[in-house]
Amino acid sequence: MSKRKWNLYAALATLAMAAGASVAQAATSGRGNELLDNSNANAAIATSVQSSKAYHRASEDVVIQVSFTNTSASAVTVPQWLFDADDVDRSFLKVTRDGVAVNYTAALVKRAAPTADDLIVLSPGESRTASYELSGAFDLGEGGSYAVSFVGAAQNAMTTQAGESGSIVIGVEANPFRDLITAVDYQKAAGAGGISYTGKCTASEKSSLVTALTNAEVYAAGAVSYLSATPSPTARYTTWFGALSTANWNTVKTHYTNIRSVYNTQPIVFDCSCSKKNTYAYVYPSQPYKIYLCGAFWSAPATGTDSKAGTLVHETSHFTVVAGTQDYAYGQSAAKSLALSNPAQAIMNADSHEYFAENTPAQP
Amino acid sequence: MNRIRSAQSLSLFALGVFLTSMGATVPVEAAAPVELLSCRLSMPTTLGRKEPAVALLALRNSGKQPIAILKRNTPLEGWLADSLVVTRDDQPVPYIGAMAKRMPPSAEEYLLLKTGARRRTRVMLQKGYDVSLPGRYQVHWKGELMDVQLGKGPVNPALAQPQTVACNALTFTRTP
Ligand SMILES: [Zn+2]
Repeated sequence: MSKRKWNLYAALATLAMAAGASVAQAATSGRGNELLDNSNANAAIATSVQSSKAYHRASEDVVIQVSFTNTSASAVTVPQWLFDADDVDRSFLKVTRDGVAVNYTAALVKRAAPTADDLIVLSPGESRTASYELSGAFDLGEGGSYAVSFVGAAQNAMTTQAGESGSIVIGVEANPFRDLITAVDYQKAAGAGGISYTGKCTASEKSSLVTALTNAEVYAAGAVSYLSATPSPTARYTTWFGALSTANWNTVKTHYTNIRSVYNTQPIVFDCSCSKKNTYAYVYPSQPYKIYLCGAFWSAPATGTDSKAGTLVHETSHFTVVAGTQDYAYGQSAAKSLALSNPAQAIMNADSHEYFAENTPAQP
Repeated sequence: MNRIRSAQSLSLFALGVFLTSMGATVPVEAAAPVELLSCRLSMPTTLGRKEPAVALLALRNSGKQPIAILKRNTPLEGWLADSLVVTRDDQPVPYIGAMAKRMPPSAEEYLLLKTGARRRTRVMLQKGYDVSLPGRYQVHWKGELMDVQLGKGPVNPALAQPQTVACNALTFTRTP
C-alpha cells in the first residue's frame, strides 16, 4: 500500500472521529464492536488511531499512536497508565487480519480504582496522544494487512469511557523468525523444551533472544568441552575461578553441563516487561527457567564481555536446579579480585561463569 | 581526589578493626560492639499463624565521618540477593526472591549516613524466604556490603571496598 493511500485511510478515520461517528460506549457496557450504544451522552472522549509508517519490516517494532480528545464542554479524566510506554496492558486495542481478531499475547491487567495521582485531566478540547508498540502484544508474525482500532477494555472501566475509534490499516512483513522460532520449538520439543514469551517481547526482541540463546548454547558447550580436559591451572580458569583445585574444576564443569542441558532440553520463558536501565536481566532462582530481560540487555553486544549471550549464561547459572550461583561480585575487575581472594565464592559467582564462558579477551 | 583517597585509606584502616573483609565467616552471635557502623536486627519473638514477618534492620554511623553504603544486594533495597541465612527448626529455608545482573552502581544506590545518623529499614522476610510455616526460625544477615566509603567527598563507585558488617541473629517462633 502506498504511503499516500495509507494517509487517506488515516484521514478518513480521523474525519469519522471528528464527525462523532465513532461510538461512545457506556462505562458499564461490555467490550465488543457489536455494542454500538450511542445513548451515553457522557462519553466525552473521542479517540483516533494514527501510524507514521504504513509498512513495517518484520524486524521493526510496530508503533501506532492513539489520540484522546475531550469533545465535551467540561473537564474529563483519563488514566495515566494509558500513556505509560512501559505498561504491559494493550488489551484496549483491537487488531484484526482479514476480519479475524489477531491473538492478543500480552497481559490483561485488572487495576484498582485509580486515585487522583493516577489520572490525567483533559480540559474541553484538549487532546493527548499515546504511543503503543503492537508486535509485543499481538501475534503479527503471519504478516499482511492489519486493521487497528481503540475499543477499550472490559476489565478497565476507565478505558471504556472513551469512545471506540475508527480503524486504520497497516502492513507488516511476515516474520522470517516465525519459522525459525517454530523450528527451534519443534526441535526442542523432542527434549520437552521450547521458547515462549511473556510480558511484551517485541518482534525485534524475540529475534535477538533466539540469537542470544543460540550463542549461549555455543558458550556453554565450549565451556564444557574446555573443562573436559585434565584439570590444570590455565590462565582462563584461574583468572575467573582462582587457584586450581580438582574439586572446584569439576564443580564448575558440572555447572556448565547443567547450563547446556537447559538450553537443549528445557522449556525457556523470556519476559521483556522490565525496563530498568541499569539492569541486564533477573531471575527467581527458585523458578526455572524464566528469564526477565531489562533495559541494559537490549543495548548489550550479541557476544563478548557483558553480552546478551553471556547474560543468559549468567542468569541460567542462578537457577537452584542448575548451579545455584550468587552475585558476590559484578563486573570483570571485581570478578577477577574475587578469584584471587576467594575461589570458593568465585566458583559460585554468576558473573565469573559468564566471563569464563565469554572468554573475552581470549585466554588459553 | 587525592584528599578523598587519603581520607579513605586512613579511615578504612580504622574501619578494618570493626569490619572483617567480605567472605570471612561471621559468627552467628553478635560480634563485640562495633563503633563505626553498628547493626541491629529485631522483630517480635512470636508471630501468629498469618502474621507477616517484618524485621527491623537498624544501621547507625557511630564513627566520626559520614559513611556511604552501597545498598545493592542487601536487605536495604528489597530482594535481589540471597543475603540472609534463614533456618526453620534448624533446617535451611531457601531463598525465593530474585537475582539480577546489573551494570556498575551509580551514586544513587548508596545509603548515606552522617555521623551519628541511624537508618531503620523494614525487611519483609516473607518476600525473600518462605517463613509461613509454624516453627522456630533463626534469621541472620550475612552483612555483606559490596561497597563502604567513608568521608565527606562524593561517592566513587569505581573505588569499591567490599566489607562485612557484623549483625546480631534473631529468632522468632511462628505458632501453628
Ligand atoms: Zn546475577
